[in-house]
Amino acid sequence: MAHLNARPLIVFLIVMVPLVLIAALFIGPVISSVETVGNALVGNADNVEQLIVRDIRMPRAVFALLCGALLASCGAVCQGLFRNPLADPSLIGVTGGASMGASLVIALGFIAGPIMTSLFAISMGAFLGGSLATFFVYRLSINERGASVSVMLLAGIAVTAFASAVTNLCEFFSDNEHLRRISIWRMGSLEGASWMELLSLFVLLIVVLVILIRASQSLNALLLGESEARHLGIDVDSLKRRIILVVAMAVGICVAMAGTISFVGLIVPHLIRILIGPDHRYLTFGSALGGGLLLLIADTLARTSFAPEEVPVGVITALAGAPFFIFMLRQRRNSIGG
Amino acid sequence: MSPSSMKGASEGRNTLRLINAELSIARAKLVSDINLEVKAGEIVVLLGPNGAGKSSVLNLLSGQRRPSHGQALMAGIDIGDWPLRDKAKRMAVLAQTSTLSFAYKVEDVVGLGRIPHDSGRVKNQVIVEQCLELMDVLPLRRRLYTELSGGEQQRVQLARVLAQSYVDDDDAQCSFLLLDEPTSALDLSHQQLILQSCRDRASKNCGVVMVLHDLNLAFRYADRLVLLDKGRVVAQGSAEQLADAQLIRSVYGVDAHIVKHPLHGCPSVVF
Repeated sequence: MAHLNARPLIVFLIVMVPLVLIAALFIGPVISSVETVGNALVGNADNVEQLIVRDIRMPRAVFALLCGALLASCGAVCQGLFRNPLADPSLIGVTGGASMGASLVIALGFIAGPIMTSLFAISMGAFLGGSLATFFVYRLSINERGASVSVMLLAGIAVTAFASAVTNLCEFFSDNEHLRRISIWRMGSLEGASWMELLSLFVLLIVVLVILIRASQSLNALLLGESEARHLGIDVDSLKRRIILVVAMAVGICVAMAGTISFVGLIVPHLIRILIGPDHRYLTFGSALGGGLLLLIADTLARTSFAPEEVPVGVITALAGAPFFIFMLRQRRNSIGG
Repeated sequence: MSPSSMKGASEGRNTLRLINAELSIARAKLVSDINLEVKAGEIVVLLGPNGAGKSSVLNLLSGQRRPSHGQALMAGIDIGDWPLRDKAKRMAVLAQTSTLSFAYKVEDVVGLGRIPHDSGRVKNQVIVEQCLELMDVLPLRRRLYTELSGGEQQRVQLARVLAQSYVDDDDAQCSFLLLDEPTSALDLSHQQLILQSCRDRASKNCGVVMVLHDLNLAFRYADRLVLLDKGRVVAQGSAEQLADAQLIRSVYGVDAHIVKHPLHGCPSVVF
């Protein structure tokens, strides 16, 4: 299939972001009026409904955009690093490792005092756990033809199983207070992020995108193979370290703030790749935009489809993502070896 | 026959050299006592049966592996000491098997060969087109690499390394092109096409080293042949020097007859 031109698609996605964001502000258990959303957007809120739009829906929608963008761009470069289109952070153990790191920090928090339980410490734990897992799975599954699907997924399963066992142990030995914290955090939600947190996440996204997009040509060369990339003058080892650290950091912080949201990093890059091809100069940024949009739509569905009940957004992405993944696995079974 | 003497070689600004090189991996000696000099402007072909160490020699020359003993030098400097990017500007390498499972367009794959250079988009475009044309894949330029046949993919990869080793006419710098079995998936006419392109490259101050299995192709196009067996250089020299029935029998274990090519005058082997 011929690819579309990358630039128009990216412009289209950029235009879609504010449109979908505003649409999401209208949509809730009760559809808000134009007046309400308008007032809330300029910062006025003189009734409950406007407060809901301004203080609940808006931060949450922004959170979904940022998180989705981080997860999808990380998914895109992960697949480039593994030279395998099935390498999603949640499938290869990054997410599991990050969860383990985060819950270890929460569980051990009562030893080190209350400061340890801050978001920063949880994020650090998630980052360390995530990078450890990525590094491990990469070392295990990579060979001269890229990562073998079976080894990569099996290593991911092993890492995830180990990580969830450690997480369970943490819960088992925690007192009530910490247990509650861990389980609330594990369920994960895009709810209740402060503007300060969102701002930090936005800065993180910019930093991550700058690093990843600067590495685009190197990642393109890496798709040819590690030694081919070296012969093209790429310092492959430093590239790998950089990518693994950035992915682990971004995914780790997403996990620390929003819990486990799977498959965004798989579906979005795949769709963008079908549309505009595998060139990372466009793919990474396109995936960030697409991921933000997808997670925002998924979260709006999560808020409203079973209203007044809310389902975690991870449930929605998994419901949509798992069949998609199985479909891809069937497609790829013949084209990618072992 | 002994390896040609290295004593006369100057410090070798335009050469790629192995000096008493040995490569061992996990205590297994893959090749040893390799003395080889490739000058800009010549085609050197590595010959030998499977497992003779041809790819190992190529890996030493490309810097993919560092010699366990001895030296590997490009322009007089240890290949491992070259900054990666500078090395990539002067040396392009095509491995035996190149796998790319992402659906790049053919012209984009060839464009990857320009990554080490800062020649700008417009110029790169011209170079890419030229290399596509050379490898007879210009009509495929907008097709997806993953949908091509094996031979077509090989030609695209060749076009990529040609694009990487492209040197301007006014550029005095030499370059090197290292190819491991570049004709393995190609039909007869494309085999000739590749070798002819290598000939042209050599005439533009490029040193070409390649592994070939087809003795006749090697005899016709190579300036120098290096025959390897069991990790050692058995013979090194011109086609006339190596076209020796006894030598071929001792290395390959087959009976060969040497005849003179009716058109080109170079030796040919018939079995």
